[in-house]
Amino acid sequence: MQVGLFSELINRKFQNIAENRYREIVERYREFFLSEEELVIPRIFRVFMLLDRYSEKPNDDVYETLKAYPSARVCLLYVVEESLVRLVASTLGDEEAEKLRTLEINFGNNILDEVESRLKEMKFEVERRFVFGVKAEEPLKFKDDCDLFIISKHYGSETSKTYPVSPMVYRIVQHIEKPIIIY
Amino acid sequence: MKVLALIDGSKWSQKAALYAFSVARGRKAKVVLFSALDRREARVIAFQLSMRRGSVKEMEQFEETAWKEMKKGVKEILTALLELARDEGINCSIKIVEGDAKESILREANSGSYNLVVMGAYGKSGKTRIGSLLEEVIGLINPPVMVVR
Repeated sequence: MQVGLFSELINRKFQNIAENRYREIVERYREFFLSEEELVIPRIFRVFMLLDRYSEKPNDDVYETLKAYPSARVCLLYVVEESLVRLVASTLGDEEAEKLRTLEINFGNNILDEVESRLKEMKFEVERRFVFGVKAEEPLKFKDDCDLFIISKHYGSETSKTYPVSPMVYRIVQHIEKPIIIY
Repeated sequence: MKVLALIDGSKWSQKAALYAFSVARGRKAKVVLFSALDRREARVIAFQLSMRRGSVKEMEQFEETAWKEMKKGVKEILTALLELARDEGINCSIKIVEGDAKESILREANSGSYNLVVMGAYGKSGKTRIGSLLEEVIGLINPPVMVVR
């Protein structure tokens, strides 16, 4: 019955257009109309939370929102920029690069432990991944495999008052078709 | 918990409202469907129409008509969404303000009343690009923002 609300609204606007023509127009302008198939309250089964050295820890509002999807499986992905490790290796040597790698692994695992523990307290099923890769590209590998992304405004780089959202976050928002919570 | 859904009349903002409802349903939260109407938009429409017709005589009349249509259009959409929410048992209300969209949104979103803001990634121009309003406000909104595509 609810579905009819929007059909009625559209029909009123197109009342003088015959059926075939109506369908043609609605198809052509579909990015402007919410179709009946799309008029469904969505369900979330899989959540992807991105973390890195610059990310703020998820705040209480993020956890409160997640509680709306108690049966969702949450995947935590911590990404370290591989090119940074390569840069250190080529300038300061392999030993320094290895030290950096170890420090990053410890730092990242501490954050993952903290977030995982909070989610488990909330009875979420949690999976965690730690990768050395390209921060802007790693999340895109999972874009078809989840229903909701969660990302800090600071993911990928330092931010400032003038630029409060990291450019990498904008890039990810542009490339992922799924809803994204930015905190 | 209280969720603010920003509605500009676009398909994307309506999808955003559906996500706000999905959070509300799971958390028994309240949803506020919020729309900021900026008269300057009606002025732009009136100006462009007058220029195309090659006459500025009817510009003010066009502006008045466009403004009335904008208000009527957004009210229709908000009412339809409100009915959908109520049919689903979701606690939902409508708030329409007149003024600069960015300022109105930031004032409302940062009022301290909301735990989540939900908005569409695109505006009324469709999927030509990620909405410029989104880029302007996203970093300035204090609660988490869910961007819907």
